[in-house]
Amino acid sequence: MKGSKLLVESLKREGVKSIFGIPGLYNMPMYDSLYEDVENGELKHVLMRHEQAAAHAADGFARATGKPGICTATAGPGVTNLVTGLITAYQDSSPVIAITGSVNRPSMGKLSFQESDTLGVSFPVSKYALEIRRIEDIPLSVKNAFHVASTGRPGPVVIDIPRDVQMEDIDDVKYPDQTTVHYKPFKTIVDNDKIKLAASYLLNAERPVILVGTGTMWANATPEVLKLAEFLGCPVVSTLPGKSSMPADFPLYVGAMGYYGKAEASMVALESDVMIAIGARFSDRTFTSYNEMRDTKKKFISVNLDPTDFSKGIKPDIGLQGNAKLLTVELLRALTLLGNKHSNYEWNKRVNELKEYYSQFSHPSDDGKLRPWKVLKTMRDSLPRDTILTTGVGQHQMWAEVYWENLEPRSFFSSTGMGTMGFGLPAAMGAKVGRPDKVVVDYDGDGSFMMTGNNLATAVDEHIPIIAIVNDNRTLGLVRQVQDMFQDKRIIGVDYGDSPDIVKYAESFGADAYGVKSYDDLAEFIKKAIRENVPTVIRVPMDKEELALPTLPPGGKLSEVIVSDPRKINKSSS
Amino acid sequence: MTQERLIKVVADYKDPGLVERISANFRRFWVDIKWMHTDCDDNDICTIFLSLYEKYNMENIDLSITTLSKMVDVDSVEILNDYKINNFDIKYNNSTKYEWGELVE
Repeated sequence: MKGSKLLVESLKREGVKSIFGIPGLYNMPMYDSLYEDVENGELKHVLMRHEQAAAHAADGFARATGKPGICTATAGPGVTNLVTGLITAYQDSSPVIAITGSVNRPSMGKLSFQESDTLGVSFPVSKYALEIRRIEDIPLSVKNAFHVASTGRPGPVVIDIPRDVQMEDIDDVKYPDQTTVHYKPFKTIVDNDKIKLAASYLLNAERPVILVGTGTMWANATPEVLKLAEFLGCPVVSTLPGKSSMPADFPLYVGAMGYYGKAEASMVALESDVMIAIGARFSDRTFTSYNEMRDTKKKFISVNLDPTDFSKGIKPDIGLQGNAKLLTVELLRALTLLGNKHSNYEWNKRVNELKEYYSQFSHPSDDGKLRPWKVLKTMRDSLPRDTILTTGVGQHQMWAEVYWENLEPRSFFSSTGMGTMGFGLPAAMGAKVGRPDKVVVDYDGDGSFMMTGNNLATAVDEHIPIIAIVNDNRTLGLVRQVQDMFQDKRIIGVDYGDSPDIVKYAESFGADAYGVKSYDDLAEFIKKAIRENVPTVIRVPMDKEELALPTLPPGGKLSEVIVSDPRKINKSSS
Repeated sequence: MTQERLIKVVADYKDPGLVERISANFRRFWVDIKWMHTDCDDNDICTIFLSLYEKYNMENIDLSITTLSKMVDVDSVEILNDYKINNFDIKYNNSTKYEWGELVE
């Protein structure tokens, strides 16, 4: 058996069904070995238009299915193009496996054609990177890679394999039963004393709050977290990626907190006296000032896989190390034994006051223009409950953070740690390949969409019927609003001209495309896109003066939140 | 005050990238390496001693060490206490040991 065939068989043994990639000189032997499996439908290959998009598609697949997503590229530019997608997956703990081909072993280090230092490039952007130097190591290396990628805190793994190793033959094929890599997934430690203490903190708190993060999604812990909230009768807030774990219609869910999060969620977090963070690290995007949080003197309980997170930013009073689902179950057991929670009536009354107060700012009038909140409400009303929504990065992402109501776990995916523009479309394509039963929508902005928009060609060619809804304001709006609000209106380097026409651009790829003039148009075109079941782009014009609110001044604290357009306030007061 | 640590890393050697990854771990935290000494046995298990210090006083040195202990291929990282060094012969009486981010001894 050839090394390339052994590689493909090893991937199939790990359950691989789909591969996103682009062939080139150095991964061509693997492609040749894919031939029969792709022909007979056992494997699906999706030919992307850029390797960055291949990595994002694998990432979208992984987030939507919970299984590793696979991408492949050739050496040199293929590998370096993967880098942005890999670090995006790394920051958001997504199990992506990249198979890269490299130059023949005798050519290494000699500036051969397309030679790149794949391991050197991959180390800083992945959880693990390995090079297969001998054909007999292929099955074990693949098994190890899947183990590392999908356990503990998930993350991307790169498998680099020289072309000549793929071309070699082997007679005696041995597939391993066990992994051998020197690696331990994080342990779950059930420390009953700590759990009991955490339970007593929560029971005795006057203003408890649950902060939900991405770890809840990867642990499939949403049902347990909802039970915990119901038992305690306390509000729930989330990080931006943690939104994916929380059904928006859960009555105790306030929303995503943080830099561009809902002001009421941030205020609930600030005013709480005990916070239990489940599967959330205290990132600088969620807690914009650690001193501000420390000054509240609240008790922090952290449920986190990674023990080193207990010594970053905020040091919790109680650190419970391990899987979010298992530990939440243990906590519920301890709470039940300790007794029923006293009423949080006053605290929930306060939470409702905050919600009511900030709601006056969150739905500004139409002014004859399409407004983000109503665009997202129209989308929600027009799409099935279990729709998967991806986003690009920019103002639209922040509008989605505040206004998009995802109703099922594992249905909202965004590049939150890395903030990678161009993530939305290819991630949606990967999610659709992984979950063809779901309606998958990329909610995007024109700046972000155009960074990977050429992959619409793939969506059309490969019949991947995603819907891209693009807010078109002809500017890099999030940068622009910082220049406008905090840099004396010195607007520079952000405004685009008229090119391209997004509708014609989409049509040129063979996608269905519509331009929206009203909310009714949007609802109609969404329904049509679902009905037609073909790749569709819906352009929604947006005023470039529109702001992503709430926001903070650069380096600001959550308590300094800006909830209404200061330009209008200044205008009306002058 | 400049923070200094002498650490012992036990790791599985696959290629020189192991040393590269260990160095990069400290570079990212702005922790400097005064010297390092590597010795690998016949089973490709390496013992690596590194003398670390913080030129820029970022107070990252302990976090950089626990983060290193989470690296794939690294079995353990120990902070050595009460040690003597004589021409790379390192004797120590006790240590603080981390495996996969967790304090084990």
